[in-house]
Amino acid sequence: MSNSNDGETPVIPSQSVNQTEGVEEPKADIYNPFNEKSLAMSQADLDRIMATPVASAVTVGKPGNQVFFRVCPDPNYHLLAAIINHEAERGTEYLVTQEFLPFLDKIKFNVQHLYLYVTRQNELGFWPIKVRTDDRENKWLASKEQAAERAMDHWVCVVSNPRLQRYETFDAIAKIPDPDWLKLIQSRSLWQLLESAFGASRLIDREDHPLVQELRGAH
Amino acid sequence: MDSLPHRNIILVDVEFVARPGERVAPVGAVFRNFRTKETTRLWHDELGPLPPHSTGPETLSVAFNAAAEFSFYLACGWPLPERILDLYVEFRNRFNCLQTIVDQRVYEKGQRKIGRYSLVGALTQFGLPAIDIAEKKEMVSRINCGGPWMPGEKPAILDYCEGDVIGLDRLLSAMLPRIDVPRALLRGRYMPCVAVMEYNGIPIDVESYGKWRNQRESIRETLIARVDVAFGVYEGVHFRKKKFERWLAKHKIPWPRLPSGELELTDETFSDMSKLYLAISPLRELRNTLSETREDKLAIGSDGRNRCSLWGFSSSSSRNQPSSTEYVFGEAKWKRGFIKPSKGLGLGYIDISSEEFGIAAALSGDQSMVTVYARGDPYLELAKMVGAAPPDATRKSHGHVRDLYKACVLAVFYGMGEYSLAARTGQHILIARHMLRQLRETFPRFWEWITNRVRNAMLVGSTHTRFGWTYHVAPGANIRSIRNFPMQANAAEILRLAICYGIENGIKICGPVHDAVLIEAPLSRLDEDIARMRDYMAEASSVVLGGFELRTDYVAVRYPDRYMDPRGRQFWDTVMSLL
Repeated sequence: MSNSNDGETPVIPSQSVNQTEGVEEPKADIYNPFNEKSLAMSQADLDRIMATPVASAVTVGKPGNQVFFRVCPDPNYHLLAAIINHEAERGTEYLVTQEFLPFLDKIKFNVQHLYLYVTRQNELGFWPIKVRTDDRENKWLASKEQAAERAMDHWVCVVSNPRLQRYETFDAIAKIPDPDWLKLIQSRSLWQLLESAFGASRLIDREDHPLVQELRGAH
Repeated sequence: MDSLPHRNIILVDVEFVARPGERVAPVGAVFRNFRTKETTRLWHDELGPLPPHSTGPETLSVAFNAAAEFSFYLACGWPLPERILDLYVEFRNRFNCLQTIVDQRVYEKGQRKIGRYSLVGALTQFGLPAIDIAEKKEMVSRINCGGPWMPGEKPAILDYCEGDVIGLDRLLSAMLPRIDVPRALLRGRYMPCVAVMEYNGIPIDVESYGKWRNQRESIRETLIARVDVAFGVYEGVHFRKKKFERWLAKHKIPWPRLPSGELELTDETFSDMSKLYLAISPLRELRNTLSETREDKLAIGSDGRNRCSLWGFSSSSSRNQPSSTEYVFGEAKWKRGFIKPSKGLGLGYIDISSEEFGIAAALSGDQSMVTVYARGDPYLELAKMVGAAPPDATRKSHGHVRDLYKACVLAVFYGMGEYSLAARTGQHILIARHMLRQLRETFPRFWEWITNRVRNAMLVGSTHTRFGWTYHVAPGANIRSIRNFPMQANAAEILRLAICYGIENGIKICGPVHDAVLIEAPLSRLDEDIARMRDYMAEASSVVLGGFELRTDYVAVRYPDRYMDPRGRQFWDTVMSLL
């Protein structure tokens, strides 16, 4: 046993530090515990990804009055769509596919903008905003469109103001990072997101769809 | 046979007398060659200047909790082996966080329980014959009486010791196929260092400590008298629940209760309730104080040094786990004031700054975390980054905000939810939720990384440090522990490696303290040794974290000053004023 300078503390032979510079290190001997650098497990192996998240659900509707959200600025995720608002279901939206649109005949539908948005809670949704079909001024719709436009660059919440007959937009006062749209969308196309939002039951693409049948008075 | 490359594999077991605070006194030892089964038995009067086996790299020494064996070697003045396989450490690593057969055993009333990680426990796990636990306890107690031994006792003690070596032989055969030997040897490298730290001990000011011990009871009574005048809940030194219940009713304070209806009296409850009802605060302080002045069992040797088993690798994160009552750093913080260097010597307390944060930054590769750590105090820098503190804020000007974000970060490491964080920090639930969201958004890569690590652990049933310490995921495993494991267990790896570097290069380390070490040196060399030890800690962190160096802070204490933990200063002054 060798001793440290104070003649008291036992010292254990060291091979790991204070090696002579410029001398090539011997090939790592895995049974030499003083070659600790060669014994570390690969960080990449420890961190390898073994599960991927399942794409999250997408809702349809205006974000709540107290919800701050952002609208995706990419026009590929905006759609001008034909929507049937089913009154018996408190105006629930049904999306009509472009292919089926000519066959709607006398069934009333609305032309609406669908904007993809994300909330502070990372929930994706489509915000449907009706498009004016006449020349009358509609402050409700105009203020909604303005809010959607602003939400492309700012975190906002949109609150109705019945007295002014319009929606008011509030910017978040905190500095909040921009959404990571790539991560949120997960390579899904607009139509994949729409399928996720409306599901098969609220996508009108055929004559025997239950809503079409109901609106034609078939049952 | 085995596939180990070592020329000799020597199984070692020793017996010694271990009195509280003293270095061990050798009694006897048995050595057995794993391959030839040749056995050497030595009584204490037969011990030579060298062990009966070589200690170079060609010989692998195998022991169970080898620090004890090497305490014996140090007492004999023997050189310490260079290649060590510790089956205690490997057994722990293999069954860490899992139930063992010993855990499932049903005991009859009065029957002695087998220690889960004892040699008998390990042998039982593998279905190997083991000595009866009652018989073992009796032998240990016979050895610990320190002699003189009757003529028949020497062979009996050596037989007992040989029995353990034979058990070790069987255990090695059973465990070897699944031991990751190269990394096991790295773990084994630490065990002589543990023995050296135990051998060194921590210098204690025995004079003031003796005074405190003699007057402890009267000091406790004085403290109770000062505070209880406003509560009337003590009888002598005993807290009376009924009286406290009456006091609560009188002051109309609702108090959390156990399912049994009894008052919940944990310190956490007192802490939470003190935030809501300030009047409770002095009582909480008093209860803590009394707890801090409970019976004193510090193990102090005749040379005035605090020594006890440091129990390397004994927590699930593989940290040291010395006795909380025998070790001065396990006791109440104010008692650290009894640590004092002798004439001509000084002490250095060197700790790794914000270690868990730094490890999380390094391993996750989150650049925002790396930036925040690089700027200095990461908790204050985080508060600045999210706009909770102005850019010129300091720890002094915004200490409260800094502490809040520290609590939040550590809560995130543990996977704490918004409700627990709100309760812990005394903040509104909306604030707690907001802070957690801030952290998620500020450190998104960390969030992704830690979530992935937990998910992987749940999928494959285990997670590891960079040097192979393993957390096994048992049914019903605590997700929070798994989440915190990379930070805690890699911190343990760093400290172990730093201690190895220090001791192997002649630094006199007195003991480990969570993420810190206490070193001792002559005054003329103190600054130099502190600087060297800081370098070793930086190097160790770089090795474990793939090139990322953690910072260290230090305190130098020069004789005649004493060491003092700032958190214990106030109470130290109170006690000293009453002596």
